[in-house]
Amino acid sequence: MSSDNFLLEVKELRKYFPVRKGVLRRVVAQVKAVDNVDLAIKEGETLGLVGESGSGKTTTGRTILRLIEPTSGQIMFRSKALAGPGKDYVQIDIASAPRKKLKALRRDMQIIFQDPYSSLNPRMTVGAIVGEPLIVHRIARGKERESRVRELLASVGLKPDHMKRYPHEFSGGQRQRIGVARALALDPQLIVADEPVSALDVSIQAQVLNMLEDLQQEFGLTYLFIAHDLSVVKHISDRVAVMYLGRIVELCVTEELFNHPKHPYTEALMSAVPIPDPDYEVERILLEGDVPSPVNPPSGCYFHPRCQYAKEICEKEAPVQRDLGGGHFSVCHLADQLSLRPVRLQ
Amino acid sequence: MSHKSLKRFWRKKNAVIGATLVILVCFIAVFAPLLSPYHYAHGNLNDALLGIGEDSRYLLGTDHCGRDMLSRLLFGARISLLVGLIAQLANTVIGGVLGIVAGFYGRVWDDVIMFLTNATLSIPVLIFALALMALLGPGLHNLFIALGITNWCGTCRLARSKTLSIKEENYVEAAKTIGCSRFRILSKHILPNAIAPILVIGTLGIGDAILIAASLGFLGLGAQPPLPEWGTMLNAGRNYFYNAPWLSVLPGIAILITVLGFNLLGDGLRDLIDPHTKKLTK
Repeated sequence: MSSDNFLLEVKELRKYFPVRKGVLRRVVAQVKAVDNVDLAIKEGETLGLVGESGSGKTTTGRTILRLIEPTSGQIMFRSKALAGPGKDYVQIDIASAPRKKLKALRRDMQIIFQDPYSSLNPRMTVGAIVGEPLIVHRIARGKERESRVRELLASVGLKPDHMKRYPHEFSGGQRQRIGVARALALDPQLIVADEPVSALDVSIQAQVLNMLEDLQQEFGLTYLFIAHDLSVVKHISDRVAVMYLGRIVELCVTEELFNHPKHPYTEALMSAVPIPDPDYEVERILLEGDVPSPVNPPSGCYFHPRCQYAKEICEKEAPVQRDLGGGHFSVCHLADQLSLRPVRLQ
Repeated sequence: MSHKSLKRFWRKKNAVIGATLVILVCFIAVFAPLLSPYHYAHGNLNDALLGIGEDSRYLLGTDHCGRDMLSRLLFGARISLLVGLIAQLANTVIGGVLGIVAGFYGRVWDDVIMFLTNATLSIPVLIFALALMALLGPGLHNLFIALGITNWCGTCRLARSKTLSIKEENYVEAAKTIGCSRFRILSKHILPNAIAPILVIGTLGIGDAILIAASLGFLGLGAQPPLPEWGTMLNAGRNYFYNAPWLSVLPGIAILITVLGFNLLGDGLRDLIDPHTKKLTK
């Protein structure tokens, strides 16, 4: 991988949560929520991050924003806010950035939450919520701030006179738009969208997704789009990373992933997608057993106990990430040998 | 409070009764000098121990010093309210601040504050206040102090648990993401959302504070004569109980009405704000 046009490069990111027990609260085990994740996002791109519940998608997103402190690893970021005079950007490692720099870094990266109900402070007006970033970073005050908030609300499809209202007066979709306006207030480069539409009605989902796409065009945003709904991911992502038990098992261009999956887990995940056609007979791959505990993951390939193609090597050796050509990364010993079924979506 | 919640409050009969009683007692306390026919300390020994209605000059009779019971009861509202409000204000501020700090900063802060709370909680409030009064000496000012620093544990625990749950809300995480300082998160995001239940617990505690003040008065450690503190009056009347029971019964009724009023009001406010009964805060 060359690092020319990557806005964000995550290298060997780990986040372990200690499990404490007993009176002395000794650490008896580690939950490996994020376990050696490598990924990179190009400027202006949307990288989808999919996986089932508990696979570490959300933890990955929050660790990248340093909302959760990483255990180890590098998060190289091309920051505009920290760039000195005469420079367009400066390369900085978010994982080791000191507190002071972190505050300035916040201007470059924002988050959109899954739950539009708990993401807005019920005691603040919409104007105060969207305007708060401008206060905190001393960007605009008084009339100037007000007009900036109006602009922001307009850009997410809300009316300026919504400013004086409280969040409870809005619907889920509208609240999500308010959250997006807040994220846009600092003119960020990267937005981590943590399942931004999964809490919304299907009819509203499309509206919000289209809005996110429009905003990406308008403001040159880069998205890390976390989701579990594959049809949403297919619609919005340029590339997709599939996570399983804290690790990325496959990463490639969206079309390629859906047409030529190169990891048995991806195949199984895809086969679970509901297809809105009653006549279409789909042969679903039913995975045996549960997701293993991230406290005590299986040996070798984490997926081998549930994998129908597993061979001896899978149990013994952990596979490494391999480029199968054209930027299609898979973490499977048998990636070249298997011919896995693609999925028909829509 | 919005118009809607006012309406919902109106539908709660108990709360309305409580509010009425509280307003009544407050009114009496404010206008005591205008309402009462005599000064509370002024007595005429010739008129001592007159019964209720026995003499048209003394509607509720007189005590052993010949002082008008009605005037003393009306002035007593001032003392009880003052003690209840000041002590409970202190309790709420102490408990609220400690609880929010414990919940927000966690770690050592949480350990130390929760240890302090649990230690205080293991001593019954009345005994604790009694010990403090014995240490400080009787009197109204010491009563404020003794009651104001003994009954904050419930508020502290509530404030802590509320803070802990708010801390996990997405909007606090959003505040971190936009770069808010810890102080800003505490003052703009956590405090405004934690304050309502703390105030309700504070209201509920006023009745307790009045009751404990009366208990201390009864034991001779509260407000000192000639101040017409209801508990003190109750104790003074004890010696004449067989001949003049109204000396003890009337202050008792006054205490009952006031404490009942605050408790009903507090309960009503709690129902109003409790998410389990109805979603008000949203």
